[in-house]
Amino acid sequence: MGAKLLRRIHFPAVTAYLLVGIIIGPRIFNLIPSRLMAASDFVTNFVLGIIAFALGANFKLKDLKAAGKPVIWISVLEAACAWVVVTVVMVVYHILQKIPIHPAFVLGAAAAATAPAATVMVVREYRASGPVTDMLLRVVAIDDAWCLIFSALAITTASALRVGVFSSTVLIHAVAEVCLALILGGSLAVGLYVITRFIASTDEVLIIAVGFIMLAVGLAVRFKLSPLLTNIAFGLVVANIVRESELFFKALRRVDMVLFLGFFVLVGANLEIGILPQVGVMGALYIIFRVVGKFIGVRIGAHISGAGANISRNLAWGLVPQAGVALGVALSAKTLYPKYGELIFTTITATTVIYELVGPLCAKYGLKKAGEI
Amino acid sequence: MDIEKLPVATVMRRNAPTVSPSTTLQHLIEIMCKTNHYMLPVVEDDSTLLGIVNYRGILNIFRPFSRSVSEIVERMPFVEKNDDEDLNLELSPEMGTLILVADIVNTSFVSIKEDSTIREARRIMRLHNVETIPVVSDKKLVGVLSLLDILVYIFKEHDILTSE
Repeated sequence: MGAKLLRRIHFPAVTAYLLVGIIIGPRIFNLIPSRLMAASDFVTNFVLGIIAFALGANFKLKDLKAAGKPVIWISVLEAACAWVVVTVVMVVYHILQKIPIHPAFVLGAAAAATAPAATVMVVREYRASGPVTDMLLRVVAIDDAWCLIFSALAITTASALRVGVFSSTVLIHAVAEVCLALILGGSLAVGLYVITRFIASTDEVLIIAVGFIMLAVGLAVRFKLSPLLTNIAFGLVVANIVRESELFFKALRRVDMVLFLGFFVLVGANLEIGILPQVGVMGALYIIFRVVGKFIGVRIGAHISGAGANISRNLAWGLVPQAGVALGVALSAKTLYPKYGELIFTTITATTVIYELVGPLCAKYGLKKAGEI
Repeated sequence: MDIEKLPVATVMRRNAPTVSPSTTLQHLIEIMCKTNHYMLPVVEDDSTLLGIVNYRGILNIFRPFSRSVSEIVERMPFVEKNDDEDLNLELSPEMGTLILVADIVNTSFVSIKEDSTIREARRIMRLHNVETIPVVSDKKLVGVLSLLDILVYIFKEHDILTSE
């Protein structure tokens, strides 16, 4: 209700949900039972599992071939450049501040994410249309998947750095972890493929999809693999081998908004308002260099794929918004690294609120500049 | 005889109306109104089934995104569902002949083989929330099966309806 009210005065949905979470969370009204707060880890893994599974569907080989090279190049490079630029800046900042550098890698990975909902909202509201809009929507649809892949790699690297030994054995171990997560996801997809022929109703589709995602998350956690990579691989293989795969993705879309709402409220409730002032410089660096990375990535991606000057100059404005996936990565980091994860989490949450307010204006500016509004 | 075990070919309609990719929007709507069929198979000259077209496809011309982009948007996490067609879209008389079935055809449709059972057909209908599905043999359209066809068959079997 609160979120609906805030949205009436044109507050972005994510910010509205976060605010509701902060208000009913332990810092203000303390209306959320502590047992539910303690389950944040499970909720994050489950919601991210659903997102990762859905993002895997965007890697249908047939669709990727039809989308063409520019979408792949631009999405990979804008996500990777934001990741690399923010990671480098954060590593330098952490060294200067004399704090361990491992959280910087996860912070950098979160920078790769964008906010498809905000971009779609702007496109819908102003009825934007044209090649830049088309490319922008295709790019935001898949770059969150790159973010989740980078996050899984960053978390593995950060864990290795945290231990303090970064030898070839650690690297082999990390590669093995990635491969095993992909194998686990692929195997579950084969299991789903076998079961599909026995499904007789849409309710069963939903139960089986949710059950399999929970199983994927549970097995990944049990075997210390990445739940994100496992579910991306799961969704990817399902989309490519299960003839009726759309049924699973559609069934999840019927319920995901409720889960996301609960997730954002929980994120808001987890926010330590007290340490907000501490993230000032770090937050400012994150905001600036994430956007710098996005602009560099789009330029290089557009140049390599020959996407044209209009896309090269204006598309990155639409990639400024940041929301759900970045928050998910931040919440994962918080539970993984209790000591410094708090700083990552607060930085991402605070910058998300800023990006959610400024991002849609940037997207509108870019599309207007491109002549598509 | 257990109807669920019958092959689809026994119950389906063989002479269902079809359209081609080059059929105009105007002609398509005329066919739908005249035949009361709201799902029409789209076929090539040699009967190869390319897709289906229904009134939902016609609604797509009122949507802000192209069909391929709409499919992407539908899959995006965190994006609220919004059937945002604008029925006040400025339409000109020429659009009746300029928009072709090829522009609105749904190529990710479900179909069934003629030797599949009625049980399987019902399962597919329930799963995909459709009441009519094209029947194929070797990628060629051989008929259409609807829930009404199944009911009519049952009623005829029990002499509630008379066979013509």
